[in-house]
Amino acid sequence: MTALVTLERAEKSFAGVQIGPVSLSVRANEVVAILGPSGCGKSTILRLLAGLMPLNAGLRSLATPAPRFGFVFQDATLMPWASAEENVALPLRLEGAEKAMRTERARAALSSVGLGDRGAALPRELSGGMRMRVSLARALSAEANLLLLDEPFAALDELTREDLNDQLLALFAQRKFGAVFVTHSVYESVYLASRILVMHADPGRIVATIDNPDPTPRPRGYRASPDYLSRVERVRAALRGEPRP
Amino acid sequence: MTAERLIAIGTPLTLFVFFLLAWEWSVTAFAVKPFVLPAPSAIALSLYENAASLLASAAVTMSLAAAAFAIALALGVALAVLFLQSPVIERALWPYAVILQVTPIVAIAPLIVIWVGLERAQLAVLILAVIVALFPVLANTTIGLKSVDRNLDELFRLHGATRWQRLWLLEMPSALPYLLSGAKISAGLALVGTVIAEFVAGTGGTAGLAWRIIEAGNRLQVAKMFAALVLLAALGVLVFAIVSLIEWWLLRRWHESASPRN
Ligand SMILES: Nc1ncnc2c1ncn2[C@@H]1O[C@H](COP(=O)(O)OP(=O)(O)OP(=O)(O)O)[C@@H](O)[C@H]1O
Ligand SMILES: [Mg+2]
Repeated sequence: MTALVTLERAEKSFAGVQIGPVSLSVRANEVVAILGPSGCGKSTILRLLAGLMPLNAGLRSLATPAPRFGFVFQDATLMPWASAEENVALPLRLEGAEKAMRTERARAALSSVGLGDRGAALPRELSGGMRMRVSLARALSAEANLLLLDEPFAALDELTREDLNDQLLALFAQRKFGAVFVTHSVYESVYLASRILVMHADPGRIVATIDNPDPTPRPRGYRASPDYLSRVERVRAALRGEPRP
Repeated sequence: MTAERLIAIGTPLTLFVFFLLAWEWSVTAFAVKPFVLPAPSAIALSLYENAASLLASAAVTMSLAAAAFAIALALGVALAVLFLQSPVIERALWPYAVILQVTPIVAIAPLIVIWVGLERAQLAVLILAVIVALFPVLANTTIGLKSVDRNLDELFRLHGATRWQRLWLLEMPSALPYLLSGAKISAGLALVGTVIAEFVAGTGGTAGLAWRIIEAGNRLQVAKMFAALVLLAALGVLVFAIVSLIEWWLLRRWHESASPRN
């Protein structure tokens, strides 16, 4: 399986902050999780993958045909003047899809995140977690085959979070896409990902890659299995910077 | 009506009535000459007696000011959009906008009147009022168009938005609150500019309110001067209220400035 997007020794620096060199490629059938301390460059790497900012050094290459990106920002990033439904339909609108089709897809995407009845609401009428779900629905509506998610579930309660985790896995089983998501939850990363990248700061770099070959969708009891728990421990150790157990 | 509302409306109203009564009383008590300071009752009487000519003049001034405001609004937004497309054009034209803004209008007015010709004084007045009213709309819209949320900007780029899509779906809505607060200032300035221009154009120029004030002043009809002034102030408040209402109506659903706090 060829890579959808590849970064080779990519570097980015801001005033006084160095991120990279980082090498990373995402294939069409894998979910990659990125974990690391605040400020280590996780969001920056997502932006580099999406081509939203130029690299200072290194290479970025895309598959042909170029992947369709879906991006969930760390903040919900909705247009405050537009309804939830219009927000969700935006990527389709920008691509020139006709209105009937846009509306239908937007409604379906909103229902899939449990907001089927709030399509007419404006962002300021929604709670923080609902806004984040609208943002997620927007990324799903455009039938992206490469999803980049920046802490998509951080603002949600535990149960909604687990529901959406399962939905994402179900969706992933249906339509083979590639996904990269940033999270601060070790459990979530092991539950969702087929590959987990652990980053450290100064300079922002990937210090460990932990594969999780267990097949998806993962059964209900997976969260209690010894495999799961031992991987959680390995990710934890890598985050702390301890040698692998 | 709650007690709170009663106080909120009642206090300024009571103060105003008290002010008028004190004025009326002191004019009589100190025997102030009517051509120095007429009593409020005399002003009201004059307003009533000259209602026909004053209102006709007010209509002239108001329609000129409204036209000037509409032109300034369209021109200001168009220029701001142009500036957004090309920083080079912005840098080339911005200084002229600033120069027009900082040069006192009374200093330019005679020139414009001469160039346009006294026989077309209305046009001269219109041009001057547009010059005065243009800047706030232009400056605010220019800033507004650039204050797009960075992430939304990236989202539009990620999905390959065209120039037009960016402008209509992102930049214009982001700029709207800025544009409207500029428009509120411009609307008042259009009226001020119109009256100043009418003053400079002077005799035979227009039949606007400024001309009524000059006329009454020459005849020492001070009460009538005040009556015209009252009308002018009322027009100003009306214009401001209308634009504020439009602003509220357009932003009430989504913008923080127009939504109730509780
Ligand atoms: N546009 C920018 N301009 C200047 N510095 C930036 C910019 N974007 C990111 N940085 C810096 O780069 C570093 C990494 O930022 P980034 O947002 O990628 O961190 P993060 O790992 O996503 O952190 P968090 O977990 O808190 O979201 C930070 O030190 C930040 O200050
Ligand atoms: Mg981040």
